Amino acid sequence: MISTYNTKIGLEIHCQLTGLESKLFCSCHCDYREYSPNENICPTCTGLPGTLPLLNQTAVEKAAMVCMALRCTIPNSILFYRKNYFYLDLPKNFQLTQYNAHGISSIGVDGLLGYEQGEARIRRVQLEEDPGRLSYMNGSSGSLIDYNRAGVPLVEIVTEPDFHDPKDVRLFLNKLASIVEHLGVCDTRLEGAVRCDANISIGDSRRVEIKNVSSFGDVEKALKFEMTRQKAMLNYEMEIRGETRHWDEQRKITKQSRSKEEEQDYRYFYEPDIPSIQIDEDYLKELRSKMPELPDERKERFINYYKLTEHVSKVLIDHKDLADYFEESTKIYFAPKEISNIIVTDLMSYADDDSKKLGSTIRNIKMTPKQLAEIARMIKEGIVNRKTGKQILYEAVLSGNLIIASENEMNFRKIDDEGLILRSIENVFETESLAVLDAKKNPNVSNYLLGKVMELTKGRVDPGRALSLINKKLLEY
Amino acid sequence: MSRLYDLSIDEVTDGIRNQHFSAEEYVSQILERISKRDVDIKAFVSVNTDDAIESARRIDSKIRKGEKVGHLAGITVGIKDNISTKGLRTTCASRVLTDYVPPYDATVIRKLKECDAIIIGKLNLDEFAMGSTTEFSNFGPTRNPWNLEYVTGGSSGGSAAAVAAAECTASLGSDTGGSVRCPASFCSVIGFKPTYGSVSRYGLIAYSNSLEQIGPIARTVSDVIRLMNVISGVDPNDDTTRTVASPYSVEVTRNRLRVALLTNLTVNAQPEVSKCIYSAMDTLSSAGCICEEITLDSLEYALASYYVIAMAEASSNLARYDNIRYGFNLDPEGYEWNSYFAKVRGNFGDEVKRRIIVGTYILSSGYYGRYYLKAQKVRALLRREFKSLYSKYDVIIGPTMPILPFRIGEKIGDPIKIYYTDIDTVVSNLTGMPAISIPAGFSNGLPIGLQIMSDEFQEQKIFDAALLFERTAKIQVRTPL
Amino acid sequence: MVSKDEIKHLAWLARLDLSEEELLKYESQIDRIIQHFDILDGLTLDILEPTYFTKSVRNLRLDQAKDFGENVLPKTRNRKDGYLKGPKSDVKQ
Repeated sequence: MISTYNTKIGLEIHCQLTGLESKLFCSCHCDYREYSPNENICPTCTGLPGTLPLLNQTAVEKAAMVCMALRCTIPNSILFYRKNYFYLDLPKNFQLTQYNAHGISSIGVDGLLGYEQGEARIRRVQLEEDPGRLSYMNGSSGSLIDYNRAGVPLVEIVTEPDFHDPKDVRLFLNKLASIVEHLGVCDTRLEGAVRCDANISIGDSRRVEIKNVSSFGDVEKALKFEMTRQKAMLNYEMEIRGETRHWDEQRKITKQSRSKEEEQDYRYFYEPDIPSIQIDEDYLKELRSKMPELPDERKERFINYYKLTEHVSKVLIDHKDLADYFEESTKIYFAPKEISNIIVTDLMSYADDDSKKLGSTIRNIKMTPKQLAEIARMIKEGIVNRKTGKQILYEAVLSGNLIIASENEMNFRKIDDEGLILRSIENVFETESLAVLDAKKNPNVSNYLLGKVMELTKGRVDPGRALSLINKKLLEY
Repeated sequence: MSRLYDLSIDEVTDGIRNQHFSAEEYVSQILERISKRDVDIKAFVSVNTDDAIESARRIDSKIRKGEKVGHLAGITVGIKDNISTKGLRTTCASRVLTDYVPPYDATVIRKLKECDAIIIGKLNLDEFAMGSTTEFSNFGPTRNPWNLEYVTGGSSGGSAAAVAAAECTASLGSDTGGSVRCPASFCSVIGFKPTYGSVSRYGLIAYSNSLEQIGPIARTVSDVIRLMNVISGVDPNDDTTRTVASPYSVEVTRNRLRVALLTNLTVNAQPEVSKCIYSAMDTLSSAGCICEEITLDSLEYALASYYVIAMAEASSNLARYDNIRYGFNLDPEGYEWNSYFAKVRGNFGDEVKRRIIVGTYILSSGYYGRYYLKAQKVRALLRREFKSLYSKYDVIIGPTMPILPFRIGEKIGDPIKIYYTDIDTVVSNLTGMPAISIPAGFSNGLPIGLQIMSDEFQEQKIFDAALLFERTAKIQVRTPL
Repeated sequence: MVSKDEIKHLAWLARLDLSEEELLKYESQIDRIIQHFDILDGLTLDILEPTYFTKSVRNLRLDQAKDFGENVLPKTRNRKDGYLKGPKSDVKQ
């Protein structure tokens, strides 16, 4: 069968530099998402006649940091080129980029990134600008164009075809995402912040390019689909055409590209309006010293300094805001093992499936790092036992309130009277009628109602019991 | 007072400040002059009548109250119609920009306004500055004020003609391969191309952005210098501007200049032109300069290099004209996008279309090394060779144009004939070094210009030579009719 | 030799509508123009690099956001709900 085929996969990744204030060549806002169409524009990013590009200093800085994290060589001078082609989302009908067909002028070349299952060589890293956005008129008599995004800075990262399995690609992309998050370069959760094209060839077959994958998560899926498609063709001895295919996000398939991506002659030439930018050694040295800690370095520090296990450290690092939360809490009360355990076991379990996506775990949690530190202290110093501590924790997570009491006190103060519990629940249902409606559709909202009940009873009700009563009552509605 | 329109910058600003005449009176005379002469000359694309009068009245009011006004208060400046003026239609003499009104001022415009200069109107040019006669304008050619049957030169034909005919105090043009100097020479006025990077291009509608500079055109050398002192300088809106040598002096700063006559330029010139230039050299000698003749072989590659680079860059700079964001009236609904773009851009004139096609060819894969890259290397070669010449000489002189002005329509059938008229001017654009054209005489009533060039940022040497020549040659500033 | 077909292709790359007349007129003109560039073939300049003007990364524009403050594009030209109207594009929704 086909298992011995040599599969080669390479990636072309685009990350928006969401950490910047302004666009790559003008002072319009880098974060374009909240604006009405064509409200975040200026003469430069709309390509008005007579305008000139003004390169953003911090964009170069952030791109250089990415290069350093990927162990690329950074040249002493960089240039920008014009990639000339016509399209509706391109205000100047050329794109300013660093790639050119005649030589190397990117900000970084010949890098290397190790990840769990291996390492991949980085061919180049470069800066370029995003085009505007196209949408379509009803009845398709025309298009609608919004330039708010035009000129937003992108860093393009191109790898050598060093991957052999879609799973490796996923691990690599997770690592890359973690790095750009840690550097404050790109918030990968933002819509449209990352895009990935992949190219894949099996054995001696021609290379197929997959475009239009707009989240890291889908890349593995797209590659798996494509591999299956190609292997099936090879099984039937059909030739694989070298072509570009589009990833259909809805249907989760790759399909033939409709537009004639024929021999596109981009007629690259050096952009005369942007001088050759000199990057001196001292500048790079300064940059290196002020670079934020990279995930690998942070993990090492968690293991060596905080004495956490490999596993716990990895979980924290993989979710940057958990790592930040951990360190903030530990600064207040130094109990790294206790705090990290609570985070990794308890807090993670409170996060629902949606928020478990990279980085957003903390979003729904009301408890502050200070409160966590306090709880850890109480447990460690024996003021409360672990069980009580968990109850206090649960309360704090849901309501943001820290109710401190000993176990006895908690038991003494416990409300057992079912009637009383039901009355509290009825009370909450009355004041939270909208949430009750929501809870009918979304079971997670019961937790919210529970929180309200806990608030009302000052934590004296057994949460498990209260929750089952709530759910029972919901059935009545 | 009569004939106020003949006055130089100093004469106007002094006169207004000392209340010998009002700004409104001056501007009115200018406007009257325009309405009288421009029917024949057709230098203006649009006249800024209402704004100009209003600005003049504001200046007068301030002066009467004893308030401070800018040091150019009251002068009228005509602007080539490829320089962006906020709120004033800017067409580049092209059908494709019929309705374009810029929402911003070019930096040079802002600087002029800050000195209280008055923008009197927009001036005719070859479409998108591509040409040497102003015959490629969508509005038709501007006519030479010295003889209406003859070309003004180009592409800043309107800018030079308006100044020559005293339809404004001074003007701004743009010079990519000689487009300020050529019409200055043909119209017997002074036109200056600054060092590349000394005047901001922010707002200059690009034709060939590695070659072009905005330059002043006026009737006296000191007027040109005064304008340069206002418009030059590093601009945060233009990253290609570099530290400048201004302010420049309107008095000669050095007398014994070492002058070299570049005989490559006279050898290919019409005899009347050549004779005039040699006579100019004698004049400079008599003024105390040390003059010699030199040749430079690598000059023969300059014209080809210029056109390769200019056309290549033009093909890219003009790609943005697709009528979506600005242009003219044509609803895109219902069209397929390629057809719409092609239809819109079908409105370019012949010369623009030719240059875009050739430029596209030059940049195509396969030809890049042979033409574009080679031409860029020629630039590097010429820079090196001129730098070495300027270690021995202060200025290099020659004719601005190899020929006398010719009749309208004479060369238009053969674009290459027109390209060859640039042969003396392109080298300064390629090297990025400054050059001036000043009136050197007439032949059969047709003007001849002397070109003076220097090393980059050594404009003062050019100004010194020009001032010396102006003073010694006693070329009277005459206004035709 | 630049043929009529090549010019058609170049016109396509540059999105320029050319009439038959124009094609005919330009064919010989463009060919001659390009021939005049052949003089560059006679030069060997392998040792030379193009000159680029330089700027230090430290002198680049600082990363500060600023609104343009006025209408960049006229609000009534070619609009639909704030979007710019364009002709039909390749990809169908």
